[in-house]
Amino acid sequence: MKISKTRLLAALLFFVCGACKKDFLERAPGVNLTLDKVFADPVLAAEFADNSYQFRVSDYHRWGASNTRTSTAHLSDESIAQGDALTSVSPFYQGLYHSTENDIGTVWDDSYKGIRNCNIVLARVDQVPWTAAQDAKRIKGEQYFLRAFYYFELIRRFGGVPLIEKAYGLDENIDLPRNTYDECVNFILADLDKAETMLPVDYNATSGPNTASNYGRATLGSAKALRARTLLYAASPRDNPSGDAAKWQKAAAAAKAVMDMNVYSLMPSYGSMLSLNKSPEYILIKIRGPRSRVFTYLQDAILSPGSGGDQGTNNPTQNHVDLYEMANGKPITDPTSGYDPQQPYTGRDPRFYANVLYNDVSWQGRRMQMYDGGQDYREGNQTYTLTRYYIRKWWPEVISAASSGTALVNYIYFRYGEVLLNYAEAQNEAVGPDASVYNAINQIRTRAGMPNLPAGLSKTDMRNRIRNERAVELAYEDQRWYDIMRWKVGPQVVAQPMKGMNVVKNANGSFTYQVITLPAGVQKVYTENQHYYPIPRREVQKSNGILKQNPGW
Amino acid sequence: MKSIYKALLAPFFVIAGCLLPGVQAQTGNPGPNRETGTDTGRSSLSLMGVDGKNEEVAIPFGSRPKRHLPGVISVLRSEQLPQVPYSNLNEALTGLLPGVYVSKQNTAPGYDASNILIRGRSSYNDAQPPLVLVDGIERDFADMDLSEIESIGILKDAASLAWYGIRGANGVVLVTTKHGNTAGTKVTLSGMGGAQLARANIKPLDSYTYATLYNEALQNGGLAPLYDQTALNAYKSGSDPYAYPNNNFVDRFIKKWAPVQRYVAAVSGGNEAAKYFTTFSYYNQGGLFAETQTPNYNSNAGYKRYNFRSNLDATVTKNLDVSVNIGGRIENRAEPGQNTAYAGITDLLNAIYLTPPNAYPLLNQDSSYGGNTIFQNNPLAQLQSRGYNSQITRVLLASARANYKLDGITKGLSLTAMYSYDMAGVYISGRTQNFEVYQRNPATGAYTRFGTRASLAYRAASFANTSRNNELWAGLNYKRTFGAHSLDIAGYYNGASVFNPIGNIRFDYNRKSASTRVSYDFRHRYLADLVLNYSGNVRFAENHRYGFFPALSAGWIISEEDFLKEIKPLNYLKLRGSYGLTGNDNLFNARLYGWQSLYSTAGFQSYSFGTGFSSAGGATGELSLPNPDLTFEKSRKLDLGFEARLLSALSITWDYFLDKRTDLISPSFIPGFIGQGLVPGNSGEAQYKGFETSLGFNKKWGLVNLNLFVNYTLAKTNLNSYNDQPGLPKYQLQTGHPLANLGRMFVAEGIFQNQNEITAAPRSTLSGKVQPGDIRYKDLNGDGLIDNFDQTVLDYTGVPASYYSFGAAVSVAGFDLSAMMTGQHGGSADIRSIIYAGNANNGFLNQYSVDRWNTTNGAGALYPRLTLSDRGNNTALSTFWIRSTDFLQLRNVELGYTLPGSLMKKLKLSACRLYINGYNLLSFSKLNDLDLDPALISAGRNAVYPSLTTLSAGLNLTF
Repeated sequence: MKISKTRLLAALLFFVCGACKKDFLERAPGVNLTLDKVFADPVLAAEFADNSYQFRVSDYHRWGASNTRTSTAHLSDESIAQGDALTSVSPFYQGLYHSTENDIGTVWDDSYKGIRNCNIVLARVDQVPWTAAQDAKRIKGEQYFLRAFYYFELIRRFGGVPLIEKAYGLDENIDLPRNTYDECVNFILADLDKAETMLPVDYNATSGPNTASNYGRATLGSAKALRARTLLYAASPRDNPSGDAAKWQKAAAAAKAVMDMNVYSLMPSYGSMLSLNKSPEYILIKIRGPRSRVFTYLQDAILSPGSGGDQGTNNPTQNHVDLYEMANGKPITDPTSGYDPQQPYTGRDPRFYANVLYNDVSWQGRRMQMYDGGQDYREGNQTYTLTRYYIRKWWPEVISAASSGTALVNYIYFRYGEVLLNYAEAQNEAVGPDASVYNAINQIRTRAGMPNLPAGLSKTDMRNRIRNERAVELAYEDQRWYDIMRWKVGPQVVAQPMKGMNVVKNANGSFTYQVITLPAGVQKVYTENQHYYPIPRREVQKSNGILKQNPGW
Repeated sequence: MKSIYKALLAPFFVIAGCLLPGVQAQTGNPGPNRETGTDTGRSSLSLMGVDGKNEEVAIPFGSRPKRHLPGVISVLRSEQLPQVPYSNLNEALTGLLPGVYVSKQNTAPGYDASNILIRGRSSYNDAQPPLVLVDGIERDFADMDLSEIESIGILKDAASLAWYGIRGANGVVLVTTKHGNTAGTKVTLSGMGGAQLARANIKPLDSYTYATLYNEALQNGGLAPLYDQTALNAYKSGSDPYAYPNNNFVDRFIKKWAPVQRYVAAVSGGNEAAKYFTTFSYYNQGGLFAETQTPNYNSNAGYKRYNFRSNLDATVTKNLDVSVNIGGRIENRAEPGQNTAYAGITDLLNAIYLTPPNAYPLLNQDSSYGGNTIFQNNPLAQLQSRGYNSQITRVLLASARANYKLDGITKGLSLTAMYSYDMAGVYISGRTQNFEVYQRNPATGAYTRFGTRASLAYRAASFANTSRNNELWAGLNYKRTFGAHSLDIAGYYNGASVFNPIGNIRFDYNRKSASTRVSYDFRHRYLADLVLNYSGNVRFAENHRYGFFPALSAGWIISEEDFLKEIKPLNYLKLRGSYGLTGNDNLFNARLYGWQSLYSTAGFQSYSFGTGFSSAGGATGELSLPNPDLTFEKSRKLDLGFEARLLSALSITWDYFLDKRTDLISPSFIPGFIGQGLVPGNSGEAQYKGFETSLGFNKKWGLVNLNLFVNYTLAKTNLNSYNDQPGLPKYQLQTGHPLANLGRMFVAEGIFQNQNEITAAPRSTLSGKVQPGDIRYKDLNGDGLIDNFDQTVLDYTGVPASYYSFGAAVSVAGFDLSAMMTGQHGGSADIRSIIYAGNANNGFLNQYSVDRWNTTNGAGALYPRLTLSDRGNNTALSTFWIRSTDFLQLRNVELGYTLPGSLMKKLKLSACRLYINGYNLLSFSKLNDLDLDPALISAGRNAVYPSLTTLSAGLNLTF
């Protein structure tokens, strides 16, 4: 076998050339694309636009281990935390917000991620070769709405923030200062003006891009509801220090505009507030399929270990329970209310029974046992309730240890009930308790099965009743904590002894109840600087002093 | 324990059984015994420090007499490899070579794992596993069988590693498999049987102690005790095992020992035209769980492995040699039933180690499984009513190589090409089943059910982890001597395509490189190697894709010089040095194509709309902002050393080394309001430096052969630069501290003894209320608060600064005895997970809880007070929980007997050796106070398999 030298050299050359063939290391990066390619394809462009929804706060329990342990209810007077949940909120309880990522750092980052996505789409949306399968106007309106939504999430927590109107690259000047609160509000309102001209009223079209399978996207009503809430916050004591009544007037008018749409109404049953896949009361909800017990917040924070929970660590406080009036419409502090401290759960506002699980309530075919040795309480074990209450609103009855059932628990962004409460509050502050204020608040009470408010309340009394109504009606809907911040009532509401109930089962089967102050570990402080969150410290430090921290932090 | 002897004797019976028919069948001409089989008649340790006669060391696409090598390559030849009873071959390297640190990670059957670190750590991004090459191709080595291996070379210095360019920075393990030779047909049979003894299991508390401690923990939290005197008395007396159980799950469900076995049959031989080597081996590690047999299946953990290799070499023409190497293995892992691999073992161990002794009776009065709402993982039920999980991994390794001599063009020139095709996959099957547990109400006698029963069924079978790896190597060798000048040149091209899907990145990546090595040797006295490599990886931008990696080494065999030749005791002295550059192309936390601005249609959570939750959008999104300058990490290595041999008995090597890494991938920070993350940059710098040395002494007096050796390595590490988050105080920066740092921690100042001390001290924000018995911390920033700002980075590191071993082997006539000690110094560990082994349901109570602080034992307490909730202050990482991991271990002892030649001739054997040995026998360490294995401190608690001491006996036969 003889191989000529030239042939061999040719073979060698082949090797060497094969080696240098450029495309061996010049690979297309799989399914990843350039921006131009994404926006040259209407299907991809629409998907990209939908991604703007992704960065919203979208659940009640959203931080702590596995992001399923901790909620803003833990921070306010609604509930207290134990175990893993306490580990992540304990710094909050001590007023030390800096050491935590969560409702502060995560929301800052995610909101700006959403804003970036909106900015990218808005810059390109007019060049996409849209087809009849997409509604380009709606997509654009969604982006304006979502950008406004993200800015509102930021200003309700931090006050004024940098307004970012485009997707920055790294070669640009990114040392940006904060804008004022009012600049941010005006920016939000301007975006909403545009969104309102582009968004559909509903998704009931029988064909085309706006059919019922799009329920859950932004609508005209969502934009109007966001406007009402933004103006309500802007008029509130925290951000309206001079008490400018014109701001309240604007807020009332914006809420009225939603009411005047005649699209939304209160649903008949308060108790199924979070569990419907569609409701005339919903203005905007997070669309999420039914949930099961395992690997969700249900197992991690809500369910009693006696019913298959790992950690029943989100426990309503006595402070919250005491806010529910008697069914006769009188607060329990009223001596004529008929409240009996040894029968504390008799004859209360029906919403109490819808929101809170208490001792001896019938639940899942048995009675809750919140006494020592009972199935739902074990002294000292931090996986059981500390206050002797669990949250019913977040716990569908089908979810138990023995069942593998699933149920809806919706995260509500806007619902009609809130709009009525917004209107009542703003109108009362703007002009006092006129008939329209009574009308709005009594609609809420009637639906709940409560008597109307007594006539002739003063503006201040009405304010207190409205605030109490909000606390009860919107309990465990991610509103209370931000209301406390904007009302600046933290020192009076949060920095108070957190209480629970001591339940003793007597030999004859009766119960003895005693309100007790909870251990030091779950007591909360609230100082004046806490009306705003601090800007995440890492962001301030990255900015070389350009991003100014909120006072007191 | 009697059955242990049976396990030890098993191999002798098995081999005897094989031999009875086999002895007659033996034909052929037993040639002279070539000293390459693992199975010849000496203990492996007796060969440490003994140079093979002009030993040839495998280098990439070539070999070189060790003497003439200017670089640093430590080699273990097959006969020096210990017969480790472990399934993971990384263990075979433990202690035998300087500059090689092997750390045990896991002992569970099928999950046996050890990490190899070469010299030291110089990167914070990973544990720096070396590049492992088997016959020149990137392949797994840990799961091979010893019988396949001819030699293992550890490439350490730049001159040896630069050949691998962009992949070489962590060092290379170069494994060469065995080939046949013309010396004649050789058959080897060997068998090993042994017992793995469970060691360092946590000691469960008895119910009385547990209940007492639990009551104390409740009272510490201001709560009433849970267990009254009646209960405590009942626990003490054991009067009612149903209502007041007192279980010891560890004793009941973890056996004292489990069997381990290994059998090998190998045949090799050949003639001038064709040579072959074939081996087949079987390894079986049994599980330690007890009561695993059910009528339908056995749920015990276990690992069986079948390795196969056939290496064929053929001389096709005068100039053309071809070899085809096929290797493969089947790994069979079994474990108690769970849906994910390994979960069956961890869940069961969790239940055994962490369930309180009084939680429930294993079986109720009515023979149902006991349990209650918080303790439902009844271990008996998990073993007997949960099914099992079987995973079969199949691996095929194939490569072909052709070598064509081109003496026709110029003498000494040859052309070589090698192509490999490797693939692997896992097949998962088994049975599923589930159980329910019942709690009896003592008052009513009624049972409450927890969990849901599921009948025995077949597990849905599936395939997973399919991977493929192709490599091509092709190039020229030129080797020629001109008078006193010798030249050895190799130039190769390498291209590889690797498909190894991880997560949702189903994408093969390519790399290629060209390597050249020019070795020059003048009078076998002055040696120099120049190695050049140009290599790239598809992961980086075009202008940062390729790196040029040069290295130079030089050696001077000074003992050949006339002025030293006169010094007779000095047999040999070589000085050597090398310097060069290597790289590391791992992306770590940077995304694929991190240099490009990209938008992905995969990996984004889709977003649902509609009341049917079906319509989803939002599956396209932007990936993190690109770093166009992203590139590979660079490592500059310097090595200065010598090799010497004195008095024909003593051999010494010593090397100083320095490895400086730059361009380490380090996090990037941009303002959050930009709304996107940024791909990490190459801004980190780190280094290690130190020295390694080995001493060997070998002398023979008549029938007595004595061998001693010592290996010592010191590697000091330092993080020179790291992109820490801006604004951190100086004492929280990682820069300037050792690598593998244990992280930011508080500085503990003992335990608060009374309330006055607490009042006077800075206020701790780590838990709601600090009480006497809690840990006291130093207020580093002096603000009167103990919070995150009082954490600091200290010099505690998980990797020891030095590690060493020493051993001795002595043989007298047919008997040999050997032993090795290994040790380490300068490492630390955080023992919180050991002291607090447990969870909220068992109250974090365990054997260590007895030594807690309380009002009576006060200052003498070892650990803080017991608490069930609000535990933040005492569970924070602080110096209180740091312990030194220094230890000295009696790694192994072996006693062997080799049959004398006369007897072997009668039996038609060419070699026969019997041995018994023990591994992981004893350790000396401060950690022994905690009753754990200092080499694997997590073993035997939480969800970690116990540490194992292995005793085995074996027999090696060669025909």
